[in-house]
Amino acid sequence: MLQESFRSKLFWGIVLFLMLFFVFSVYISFLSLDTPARFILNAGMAGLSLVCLAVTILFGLFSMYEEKARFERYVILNRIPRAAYLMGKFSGTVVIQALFAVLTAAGIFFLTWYFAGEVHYGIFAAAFWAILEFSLLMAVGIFFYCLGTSFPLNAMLVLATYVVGHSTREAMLSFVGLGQFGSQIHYYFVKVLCVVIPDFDFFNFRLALIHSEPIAPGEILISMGYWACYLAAVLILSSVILKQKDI
Amino acid sequence: MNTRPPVVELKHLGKTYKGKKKNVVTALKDLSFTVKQGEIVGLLGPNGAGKTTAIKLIMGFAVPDKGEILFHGQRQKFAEPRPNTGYLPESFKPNPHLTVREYILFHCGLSGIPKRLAKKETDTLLGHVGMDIFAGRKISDLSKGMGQRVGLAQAFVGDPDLLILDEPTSGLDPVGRSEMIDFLIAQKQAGKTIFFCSHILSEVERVCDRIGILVKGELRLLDTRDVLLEKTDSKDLDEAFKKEVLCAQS
Repeated sequence: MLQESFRSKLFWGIVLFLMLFFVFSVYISFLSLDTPARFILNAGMAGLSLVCLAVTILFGLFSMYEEKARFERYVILNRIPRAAYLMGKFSGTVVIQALFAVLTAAGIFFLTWYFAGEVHYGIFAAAFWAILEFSLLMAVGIFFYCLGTSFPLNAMLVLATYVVGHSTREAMLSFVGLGQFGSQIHYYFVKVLCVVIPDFDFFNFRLALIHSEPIAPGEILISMGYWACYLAAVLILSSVILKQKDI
Repeated sequence: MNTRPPVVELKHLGKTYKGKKKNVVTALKDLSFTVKQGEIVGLLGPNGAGKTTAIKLIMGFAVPDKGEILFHGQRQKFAEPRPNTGYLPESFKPNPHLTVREYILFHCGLSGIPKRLAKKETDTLLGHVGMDIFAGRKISDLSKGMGQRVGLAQAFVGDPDLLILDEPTSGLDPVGRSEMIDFLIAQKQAGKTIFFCSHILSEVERVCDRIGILVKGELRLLDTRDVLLEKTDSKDLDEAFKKEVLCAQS
C-alpha cells in the first residue's frame, strides 16, 4: 500500500497541503507578540488533525471503494478471508497515517526550533496520540463500508463521527451541569451516543503534551485501554457484518 | 468406470434479491449442473439472465437461498476463499498504481507463495499470457486488452485446477478476443477445467465442450453443441439460443 501511495497524485497533494500549512503556521507566528512557538505548535496540531483526516478518508476509505469499483476486491477475496482483507486495509492506512503524523511532527519540531529557538519533543508524543485517534476513525469508516454505504455517504458519516466524537463529553457535561435541561429520554439518548460513538476526548492530550503540561499515568492507561477495546470491537463487528453479506 | 467426483457440482441453487419497493427479483431458479475434470463449460445467456449471479454463488461471494455447491465432492462454505480456483470477474481492472510484475507478485503474496518462488512464478505466468515484455510497465499505461491479460495471469497464480471466468472477452477487440479464445483452448489442452460465462455465441461455440443456455435464471439446456442443435431443431447455435430465449419469454 505504501508503494502505491507514493505513486498516487493524492499522496503528493497531501504533502503539498502540509507544506502550505507549515508556511501558514510560520506566517501567523510572526503576528504574535513574544510567543511564536505557541502559534506554530497550535497551528501545527490543527494541521496534524487535518492531514490525518485527509489520509483516513482519501487514502484508506477511497482505496477500498476504488477496489470495489474495479472489481478487484473479488480476486483478493478469492485468496484471503474477508476479515484479513479488512485488517490489511486498516493496517495499510494506519501505516500511512503514521507516516504523515511523523512527517508533520518533524516539520513542526523543526519550525519551532528554527523560528522560535525552542525544542519541543512532546510533538512526537502528540503525533502518537493522533495516530491512535485517527486509526479509530479509520475503523469506524471500515464499519460503514461493511454496511454497504457509498463513498460520499461514508466520508460524511466519518466526518460527523469525528465532530460528534469530540463533543460527547461536552454534551454529557451540559446535562449534568444544567440538571433540568431536556427530558430523561434526551439524557439516555446522549448517554447511548457517548457509548456508541467513539469518544475522541480520550486522546486530547496533544495540546497538553506540546505545552509540557503534566498528564496522570492513569489517564494514559485508560485511554490506551479504551482505544484497544473500541478498535477490537469495531473491527470484529465489521468482519462479522462483511462475512454475512453478499458482495 | 470413472468414479471421480466432478470438479464443480451445483445442486438446486436458487437466489433472489430484494428489488426496489420491496419487490423480490428471482436471479436463479433451481440451477443444477456439473463441470467435469478437463472440461470447458460455457454458460450463455442474455443480459440479466443470472450468469454473474451463478458465478458469484460458485465463488462464495453471495449466499444462495437454497441449494449447495460442491468442489471435488466437498461442500463449499459461503464467504470463504477458494484457493484452488482462479477467478477473473467481468469488467475487471487491475490496480493502476502498480506495474504488471508488482501486481502479479502481490497476488503471489496473497496466495502464500514464498518470495523466492514468487518471482519465478510471476515471470512464467506473464510469459503464458504474453505480457513478459511489459512486466515493468505501469498498469495505468496498458490497453484494456493488456489489462485483461494481466487479469488472466492473476487468475493463474497458485496453479489452480479450476478457472472461473466471467465474460473474459468483454471489451476486447476482435484480435484480443481471438487470442483469449486460443489461450483458453491451450489451457484445456494443459488439463485445466474452465467454466465461463458469455453472451458471445461464436466464442462459446469455438471452445466449449458443453454449452448451457440460461434465461431468466433458469437453465434451459446444457449439452454438447450437436445435441443442443438437435434438441432445439436448429441449424446453428444462434438459432438455438434465440429459440430458447423466445420460448422462456413467452
